[in-house]
Amino acid sequence: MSKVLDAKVMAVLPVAPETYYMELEAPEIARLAVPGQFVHVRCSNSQDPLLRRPISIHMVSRPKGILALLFRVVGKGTELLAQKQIGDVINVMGPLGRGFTLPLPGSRVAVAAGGIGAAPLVFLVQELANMKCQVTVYLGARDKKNLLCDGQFVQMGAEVVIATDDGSLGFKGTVPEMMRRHNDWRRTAMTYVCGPKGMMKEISAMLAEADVPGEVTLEEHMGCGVGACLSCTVKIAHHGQITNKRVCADGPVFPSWQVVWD
Amino acid sequence: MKPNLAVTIGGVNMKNPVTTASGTFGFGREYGPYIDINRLGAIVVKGTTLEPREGNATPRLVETPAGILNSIGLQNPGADYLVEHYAPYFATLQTRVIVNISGNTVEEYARLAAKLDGVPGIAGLEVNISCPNVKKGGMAFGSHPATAAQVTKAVKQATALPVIVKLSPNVTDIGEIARAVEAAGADGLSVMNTLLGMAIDVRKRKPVLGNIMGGLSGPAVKPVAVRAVWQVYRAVKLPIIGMGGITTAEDALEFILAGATAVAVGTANFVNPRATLDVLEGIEAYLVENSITDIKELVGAAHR
Repeated sequence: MSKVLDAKVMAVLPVAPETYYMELEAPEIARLAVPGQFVHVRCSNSQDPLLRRPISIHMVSRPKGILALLFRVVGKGTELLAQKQIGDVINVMGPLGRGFTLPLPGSRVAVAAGGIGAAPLVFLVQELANMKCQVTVYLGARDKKNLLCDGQFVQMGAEVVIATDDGSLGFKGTVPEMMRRHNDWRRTAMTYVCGPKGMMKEISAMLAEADVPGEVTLEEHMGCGVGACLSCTVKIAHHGQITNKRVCADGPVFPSWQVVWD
Repeated sequence: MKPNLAVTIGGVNMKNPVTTASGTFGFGREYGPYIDINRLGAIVVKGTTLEPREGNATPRLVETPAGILNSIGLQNPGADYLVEHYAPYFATLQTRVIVNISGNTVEEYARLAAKLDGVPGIAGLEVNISCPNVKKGGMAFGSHPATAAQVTKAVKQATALPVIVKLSPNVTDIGEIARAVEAAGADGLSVMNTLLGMAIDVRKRKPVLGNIMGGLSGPAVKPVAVRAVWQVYRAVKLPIIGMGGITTAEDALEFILAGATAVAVGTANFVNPRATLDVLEGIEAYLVENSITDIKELVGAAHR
């Protein structure tokens, strides 16, 4: 079940270049949300920008009724969102979409995050930690300054290995390049991936080759957020048949081996 | 006293004048978690074709100032699927369900209309002769009075259901098309479909939409739509469902005053899933405030 509600901004702060952390008072959404889902946010009450913006759920605190978002400023909508002040009210719709498939408690799992892709994986790793899973996080960013959520992952008990494109922290190179040098993920019950399309595509191929099940989180230009407008479709192959699936309603999480990458 | 909100669009009896624009409301169910769709006068569901359609390449949607461009390309599961999987649900609703239909040929429109004739749960057909996003059919039929009339006549002959023809604004004289469709036997008109437009990504130096061009909708097109309704009202006697950028009750009232008997909310559903009910409640409040006992008194009132 999803709700539309006015949520009060409880915190908003920059955490990295062009990247903001925001806490919203939204107890009903916090209660219903599962890792991998998103909320559809009205960034302004004007007609320009018109549409809501889909933003992944970064974290929830059910006792406090808090919904936390971590987002990058990429355009007009997110720019307006970043300018919100504590006490402002934002109309939020959610939780929306289908989240990650959780493994059996105590499983060994891997998480691959690139850039802002780390945002929804924090909620996931928290859930995995609650399930006593053994988690390795392959965390990448352009550089040290843009690395997100490393502290949170460590605090949750995950093993974190870092890659930066410029080598300013950890392995110098991309997340898939780093993963090729590790073997842990090859023996996992599941590998969860969120990051740039190229990274997800490359890791999906590696997972297929290693015969490891994986899940990726996809993005497309989105309209309604509820599966009505068919704007955000992606090609999904299932039993040899390729069909259009809606990122908003059938995803945003999809099995890595089913995605038809372009 | 509660004002009378009931209206009739060519045989489709609606308890109030508020409906949804095809393509923006799925098959109704998608909005079930947010509103009681039984409160609406009618819902117009996603454009349906004889055979299933995959639709166009992505990106299919891009935001523009106070609007959106879309090029979904009529992705739909086909008429058989609709009859089997959606119609039984439609039959459980306490609102009228109008199915929007499209074809590549006149014959296809007729076959589709015949297939949906007599299906429980379907109250009427909206004939899409104005989709800007498909190569064959769609807007090609709606751009000329003769072909628009041909499609209308063929659909009318194939079904006993009320036939509402959806007009394109991408024409020189919308009144001329409306007259041709009226003469061909249409029971009502939907005014208007989206405006053909496009956007270019200056960084990639390429069109944004996968289909290059798309249909513009949202608040940005409202003045064009009000004008189209005004002109069609003057041209024909048929009842009109007015649409194009309706976000609030005030917007809807503009359409009604211009000559629309009913109004459809489209793009605004994406922004505010309660938009249809907000419009309905606002219209009712306006009638009460102005001591108007029947919504029909307002239809076309700006012409008088």
